[in-house]
Amino acid sequence: MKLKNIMAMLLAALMVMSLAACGGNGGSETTTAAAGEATTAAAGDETTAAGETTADGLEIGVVGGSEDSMGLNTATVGALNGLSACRHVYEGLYKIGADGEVTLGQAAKAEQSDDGLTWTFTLRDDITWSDGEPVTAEDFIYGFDFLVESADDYSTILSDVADKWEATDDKTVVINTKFACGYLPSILAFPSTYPVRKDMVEEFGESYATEADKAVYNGPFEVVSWEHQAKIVMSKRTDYYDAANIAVGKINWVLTSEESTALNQFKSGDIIYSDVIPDEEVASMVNNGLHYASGMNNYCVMFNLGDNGNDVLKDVRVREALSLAIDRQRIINIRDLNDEMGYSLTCSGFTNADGVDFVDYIDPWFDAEDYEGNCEKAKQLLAEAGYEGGAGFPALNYIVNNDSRKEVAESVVNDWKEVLGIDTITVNKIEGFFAARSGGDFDLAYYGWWMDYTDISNMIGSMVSVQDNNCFWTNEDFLTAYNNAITTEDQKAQWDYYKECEAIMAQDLPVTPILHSQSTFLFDDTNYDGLVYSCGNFVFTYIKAK
Amino acid sequence: METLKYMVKRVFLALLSLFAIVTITFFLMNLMPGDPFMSEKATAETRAMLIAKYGLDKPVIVQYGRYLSNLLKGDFGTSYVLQKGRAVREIITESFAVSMQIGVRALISAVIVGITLGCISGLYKDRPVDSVIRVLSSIGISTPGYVIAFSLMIVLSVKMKLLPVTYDKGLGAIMPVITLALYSTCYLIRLTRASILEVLNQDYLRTVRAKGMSEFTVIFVHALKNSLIPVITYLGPLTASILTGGFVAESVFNVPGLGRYFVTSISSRDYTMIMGVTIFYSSMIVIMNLVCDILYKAVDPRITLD
Repeated sequence: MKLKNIMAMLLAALMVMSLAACGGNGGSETTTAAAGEATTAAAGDETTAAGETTADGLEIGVVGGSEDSMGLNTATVGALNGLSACRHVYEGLYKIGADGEVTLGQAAKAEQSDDGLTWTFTLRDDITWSDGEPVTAEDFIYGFDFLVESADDYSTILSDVADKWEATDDKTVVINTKFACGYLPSILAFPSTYPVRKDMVEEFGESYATEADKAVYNGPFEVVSWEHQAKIVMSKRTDYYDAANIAVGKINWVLTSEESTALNQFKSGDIIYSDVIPDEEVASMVNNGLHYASGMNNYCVMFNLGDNGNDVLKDVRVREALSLAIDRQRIINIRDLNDEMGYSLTCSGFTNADGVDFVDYIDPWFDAEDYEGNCEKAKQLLAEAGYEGGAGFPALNYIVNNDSRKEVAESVVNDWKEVLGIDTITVNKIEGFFAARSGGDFDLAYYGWWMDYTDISNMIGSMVSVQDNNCFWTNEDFLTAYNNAITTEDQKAQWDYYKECEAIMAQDLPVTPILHSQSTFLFDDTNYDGLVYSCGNFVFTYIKAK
Repeated sequence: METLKYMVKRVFLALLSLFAIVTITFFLMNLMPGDPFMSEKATAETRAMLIAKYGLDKPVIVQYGRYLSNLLKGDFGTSYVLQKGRAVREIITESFAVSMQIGVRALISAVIVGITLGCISGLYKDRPVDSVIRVLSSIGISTPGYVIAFSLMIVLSVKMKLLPVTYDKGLGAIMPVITLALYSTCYLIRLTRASILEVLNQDYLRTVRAKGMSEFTVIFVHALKNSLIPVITYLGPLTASILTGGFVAESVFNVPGLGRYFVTSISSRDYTMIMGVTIFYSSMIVIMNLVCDILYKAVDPRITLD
């Protein structure tokens, strides 16, 4: 009896403590407050949709990265999630439209001079900042200057193609480009080139845009609160020029990188979108909200052709042998993430007027259908280089920066061992990977490029600068073809130049592509549509309830 | 007077310890490969500009001198990576407030439940209730925090829909509190049980019983008080660590607390944040150890503070 009493008291104490734990501010906002009633098969069994329509419009919950990938300063933000957030609360001369294409944003009109070098933009008359001030041409010019001064990831995105910009009056922005840059609209739709209010930067200094109330916004939404490490709440601006066509009234943007948490939030109906999902749960979410989108990227092995790289790699026969011996299909099968095989630097997704994809337009770097034949050729090339059966092949250091890339690298190294007999290449996952790679402190390295905007120049251009491509490779013919491509407006001619670029790289092999990965994300498309996904950037502005 | 003299001495030693911690951490941090501006997209030129902007191109000893000078003025600098541009002091203050809200609840729960169950387990040694408590506390100690956190989340949020998946100041605090408190609770159960068993065999308790004292007085006035010394020793660092949050509980339930920064600041090479959280956590440990030492004296007057 005595024992029962003690246990009863203990249970009572536990209950009291539980209640104490849920005390505090009961009036706080949570994303679950937004949970609606509609049942959706898309989000898994017995889940409810995260959105509900109120007088202020549709309220949605989304997961888009963690705090460290978030940022609302357009000049310094570099991670995809921060860039995506900026696309909602700011707007440039161009924007990504509901169809996913680049379209005019704050500019009402864009004119290009006959020589293609001068672009004149006339701003809309109905554009304002969230504090009611009109958006002026000077705000854009200040934004461009602020970007250059910030010296961050994208500080040269505009200055790489333009050498001068000015505001000729309150409503006119003039940009002079270094060449006839056909993809300038894509750059001007990129958040780094959005306008910035000088008075805000001067008032807040280094803490500009680090809190909801330390910036003003000219996009379709404004940030009403930013609970660091937890969530950002965006509310539709009723004075935005296109507000009438936007159904979303409020976005609860949850900040987390914990994949399982995001998945559980999706299953429980707290959110309708997540860009993170555990790899091991991908299969279970097929037909339950899982979507694939072109990752617009490449995933390669990089050869160090600089002074610090082993001399053996300077022999193109060795590089080709290593490239041919990689069993790409096996790697793709093991990953089971819907990857596309990499037989070109550029990924699929670019089509010409005839509907032909660029990867089908060019010559593949190798015969992707004949792995056995490739292996025989690889053995022959290695023997010609003096390392028959891998004999005498020097020790090489293959660096990577995370576990999943290490697994791929180990698979590649295993192919080299099985096919070529090379057992002297060691995979090392290292801290300070990017510093080591840019410093040339490697023989082989992981290399991947995620496109910033949908133009082939952004992919092939990544191999232009010797300083930046890290493999210390340069080729005059490649540079000439690339420069011809970016200054040519005729698509056929441009594609031919890009094709030449690919052929030169296939011949020189500064890198060898393995695959092009897909982006996976969860979206409740049973109850909603209108999600725009482009180059890793997600735009929720045009979402509508079905 | 003795206590005051002791405290002055301990505060001086604490400051000395903190100085050593700051110095060692600063130089160790700079020995780590990489820097805060490692990024796939940053060109070598922009990276060099950022390094120069924050003075990281200067010799480490110069950087150290500048950091100490700013620190003495209460300036912890601004975050380079995790919350670019925000003052470290502001980040720590804000996130500690959240961690503390959860931590206090977790600490109180752990202490009450841990000591109570530990006493029961000790008093009913080898009886069924003792076995149940021992098994449960062993499970609690050996189960990884991630498993506890996700099990709670899947059962209580996803399946039963009783609680929000992520943290909020209302019901959303329950699961983080349980996750944070569970290990400490189970550890305290075992610690209290062991201490109680040791004390119960002491001669003085036989004397107390011989004097006709009630069992309640024997246990709660005489036995428990003397068995608390090892518990207090554990409570010092426990309080410091639990109040500053836990990486698992905060990550899984998306709690905007301080705990996550202990890991993320290092992995992202956010130098100013590494220094800030290290100094803060060290100060907490030093303070809590001091409090524990004073508590020893309160519990057992035979202990001299010197």
